[in-house]
Amino acid sequence: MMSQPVELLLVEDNEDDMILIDEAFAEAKLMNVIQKVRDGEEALAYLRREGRYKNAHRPGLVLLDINMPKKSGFEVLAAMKEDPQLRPIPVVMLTMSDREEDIVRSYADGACSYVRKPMSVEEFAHVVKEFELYWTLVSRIPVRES
Amino acid sequence: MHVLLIEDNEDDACLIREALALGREVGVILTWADRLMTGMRYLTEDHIDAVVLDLSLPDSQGQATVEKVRRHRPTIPIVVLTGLDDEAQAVQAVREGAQDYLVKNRLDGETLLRALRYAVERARVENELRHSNEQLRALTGHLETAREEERTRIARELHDELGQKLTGFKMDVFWLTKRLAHSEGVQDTGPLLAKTRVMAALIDETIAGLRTLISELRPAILDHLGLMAALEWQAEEFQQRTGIVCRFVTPLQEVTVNSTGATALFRIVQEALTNVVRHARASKVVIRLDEEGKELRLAVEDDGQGITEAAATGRSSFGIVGLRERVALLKGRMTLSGNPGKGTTLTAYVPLSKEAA
Repeated sequence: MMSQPVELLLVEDNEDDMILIDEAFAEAKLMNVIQKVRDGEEALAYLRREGRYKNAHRPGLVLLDINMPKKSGFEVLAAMKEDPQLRPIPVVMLTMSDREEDIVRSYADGACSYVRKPMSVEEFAHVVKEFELYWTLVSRIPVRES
Repeated sequence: MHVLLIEDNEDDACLIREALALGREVGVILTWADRLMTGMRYLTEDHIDAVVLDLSLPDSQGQATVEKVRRHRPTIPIVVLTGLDDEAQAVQAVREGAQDYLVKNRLDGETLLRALRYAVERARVENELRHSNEQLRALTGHLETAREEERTRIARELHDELGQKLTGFKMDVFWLTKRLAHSEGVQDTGPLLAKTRVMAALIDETIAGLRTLISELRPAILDHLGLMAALEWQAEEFQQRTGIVCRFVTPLQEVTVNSTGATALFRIVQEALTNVVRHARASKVVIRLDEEGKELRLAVEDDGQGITEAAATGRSSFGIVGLRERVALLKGRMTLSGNPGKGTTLTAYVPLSKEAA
């Protein structure tokens, strides 16, 4: 089966990190659409297609910063894993450090992996490619719409 | 017991009335009608337990008389009255659903009473049996739905949980491999690198195994793209797995069947293909899907040794009984025919539903 570009959702409040990820994404020459939101609450609104996000596509992968205002990355992760509609979407956590407790908690709460910022171009492309393959596990269609 | 006698000949009616006189003491009540139409009215208005029916009435003759009563009250026990010269017709009536027959000239009260009692009892047992069969069929349908839901749930769980974790795991191992390859501080990275490569390969294998398992449990293609795409995929997958050439042939662009129907038809094809592998010794299978009038026709034809009549109609083959049951649940019918040395064809006819899959 062929994999097709999945849509990505980047949840990141830090402007500098955002720019670095944008650069990595551009340089990796990926076909994927990348959507960006600035905090945890907005992330959940986007994923649940609430308010101004009512026409949003459900992403095939979420890149989630841990330290954010309003709702932390952990809170978003927990909410996603409790929601049957959002649970299938894989989440990769973005961390500033190799703080072991953050990493342990990420995995325990249901994240697939974590990446240390800043992300290299190669790393970025690799993450995206692997999760596109993941979606081919059962189907060509990334997320069940309901 | 309230007995309705439908008999146009007054002498015969009197004969029956006299014969049943001794039944009055044990609570037999007799109502007499001399026309079928009148009898039908009694059947509608009164609580009748059994019908004694003459086959030759002014307003109805022969088997049609039994049919009309049965159409009106499908479960009512019927005892047919017949003359000496048309016993054959009475036997036919029993085949058509009457409980018993009595020859008028040989009639006596005791025989008639016993025939009526047995008729009522037999009809009661038949109805119970029919009811219990209906319940079993409903239960089978319910179990089938439950099983399908469970399979879908497990497939989803495997995908969402294990699939995600393995993908993450694979990424982590990849990261580790990269780091080791470029590390300068660690001495002799060779064995470590070898280990991580083995790990990565093992994860790939596990993911491949998981993929097979998930699609066996519940092909997502059936839910996402419908029956036609699923059958196409199944034919390809079957050919790859077994080496038996498999084609899916259809003139249809889309198929009008709801999702329960699509699942059932898909499982029928899978079951039929399993039978081909196990028994047919075939080199080629064709799956055909077509619409014929108001029915959907699904056929699985192979070029193998051909199923024997005994095997096709046997009660002991759970595979075939299961297939018939699946088709019956869709209110359809199934034929299975074998031609020695030329192959076997299974055909299911299922009423079309309006809702598309």
